[in-house]
Amino acid sequence: MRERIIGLETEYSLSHIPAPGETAMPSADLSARAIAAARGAIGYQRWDDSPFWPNGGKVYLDLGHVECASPECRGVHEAVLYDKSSDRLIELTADAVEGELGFAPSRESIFAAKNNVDAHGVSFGSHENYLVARSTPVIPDPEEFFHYLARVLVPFLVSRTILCGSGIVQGGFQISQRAAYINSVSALDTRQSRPIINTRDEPHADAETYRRLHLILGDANMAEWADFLKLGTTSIVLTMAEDVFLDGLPELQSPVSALWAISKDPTLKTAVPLANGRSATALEIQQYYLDSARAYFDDRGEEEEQILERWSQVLSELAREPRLTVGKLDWVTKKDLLENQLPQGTGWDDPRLKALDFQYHSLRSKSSIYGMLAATGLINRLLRDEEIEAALRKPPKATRARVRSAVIEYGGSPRDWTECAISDGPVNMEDPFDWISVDAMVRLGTPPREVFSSLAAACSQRTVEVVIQAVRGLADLADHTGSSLSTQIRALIVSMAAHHDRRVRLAAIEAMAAVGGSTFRQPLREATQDTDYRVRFAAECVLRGEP
Amino acid sequence: MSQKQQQRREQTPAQAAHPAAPAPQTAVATDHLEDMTADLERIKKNDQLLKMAIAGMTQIPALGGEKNSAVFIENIKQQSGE
Repeated sequence: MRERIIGLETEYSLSHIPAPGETAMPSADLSARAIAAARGAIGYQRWDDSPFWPNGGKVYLDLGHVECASPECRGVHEAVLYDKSSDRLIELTADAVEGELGFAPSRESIFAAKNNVDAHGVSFGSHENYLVARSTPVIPDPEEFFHYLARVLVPFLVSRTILCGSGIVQGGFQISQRAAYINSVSALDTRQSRPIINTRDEPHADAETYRRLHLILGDANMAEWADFLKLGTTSIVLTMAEDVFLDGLPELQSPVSALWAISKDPTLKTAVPLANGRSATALEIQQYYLDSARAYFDDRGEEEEQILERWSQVLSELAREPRLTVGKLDWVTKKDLLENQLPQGTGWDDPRLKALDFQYHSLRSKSSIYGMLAATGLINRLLRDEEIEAALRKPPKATRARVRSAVIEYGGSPRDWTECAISDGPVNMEDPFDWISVDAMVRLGTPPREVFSSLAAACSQRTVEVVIQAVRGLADLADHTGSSLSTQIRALIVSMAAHHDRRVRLAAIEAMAAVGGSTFRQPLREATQDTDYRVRFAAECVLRGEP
Repeated sequence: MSQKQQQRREQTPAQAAHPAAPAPQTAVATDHLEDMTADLERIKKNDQLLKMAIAGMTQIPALGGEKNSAVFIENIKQQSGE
């Protein structure tokens, strides 16, 4: 699996439902109160007003909304986990604010929801962020590559609606909440001209290497399967695009009109016009991308396998009978629920259906229809409640969010996504994959033995990139420690030179070169007999004292 | 996983809807019938679970009638962020 950093920014809806005859508190005021109460809701105390959170994410007031930005996540499962932990934070916060305001439970309440449209037609966002390559060897010009990326993505994103729309009662039933608010193919803006491809270029990382793809067209998902498919399928298509693998794309004649048309047809029969004069349904377009992915990923990692399997399963079920995806896809689950509740002789304009639509997205345990469906066993879960709860405070295992979280724990202060401040100066975090900064840990006063334990634990992880960073961290730590720990560090580096992955063996040889000393002579000699010529060459260079 | 399940998994939706493999007509029909029966069972089970969940939703405003729902909706009012 190619490693990819994924993050989500979700705006939550908070509304005061007042006692009969009384006036509601404006939602912006309620959101400000929620921001003030959020830390207390999880027992997190802090001396400053930094919006960064102990899990490395960010919680703040954005133009009258509570917004949660997840920490940088490595892979899809982790991104879904932190998305759900943000939902849990909002639930706890709403409970806390209700307590503070002294609401009588049966008379007034706070409606807290994860959706994208209010009752007055105002839309708000749930943005996805994917770290992508700035360019590729095949298309070295960054602008040209982004243009290609957009060309690959547009038909995919338009048709992806059938997987991750969360459904809305709006002039009938529509698959997507956001689709009707998307009105351009690509643009920098996110409020007036909402695009399919947002061209904002703020990588929050080394801008020479990376770009952060910022997508604003997706719906906020309650269902874990839908969330997983939204992030997973997009990540897979991005990987194929980075390798310039896709050709013969089903390019759309009019992408925005196609998005609207697909969203308005829950039967999935609408065929949208293609640029080549033909037409295709959303299912057919998705099938093109799935078939391409199957051909591309012949050597699949565990997560890729899961994504392709679930993607295939859901497309097949949607083609046979959409109701087979109840419990997996939000729009189908909601539609089935509403149709079961549709009073005889009334239509989609009945306010009861609109109210049920909102309540599906409620995050309050007493009033959440999604929550009740999950409790009944109707929702297909991918996560355990305990891991969602733990993710409120703990950072992802192997991204720079872990460094940020450690800085917060030891009294430092994150300045932004790429830098933290500690007492003796800044900590640079330009690389989102760099999950351990030995230098920062030591400067924060973390006992070296504790840092060593983290690195040793990481050395036994399955993700090769994590192991490589841990080996590099061992070399850094060797500069900071006394003789007893130094022996253990050296022993661990030597053991990593026998790792099954040649990239880890290479990192171990680099670490031996950095740490130096005669103890590495024997393992280096052994490495000159390695099966991989790169490892042999590196070991010979180190033994000869060459860089 | 059985061979049959594996074959089904590897089918495209279009193939699933219109099996193109030149298998004997009776085999296709039996397979299709099995699929349909399993699908119907799942839909029926989901329906039961849905009804159970709805029965437990005593505090949902929409279930309190049209007027309550209209009042509830009126209060769902946000500013656009982004």
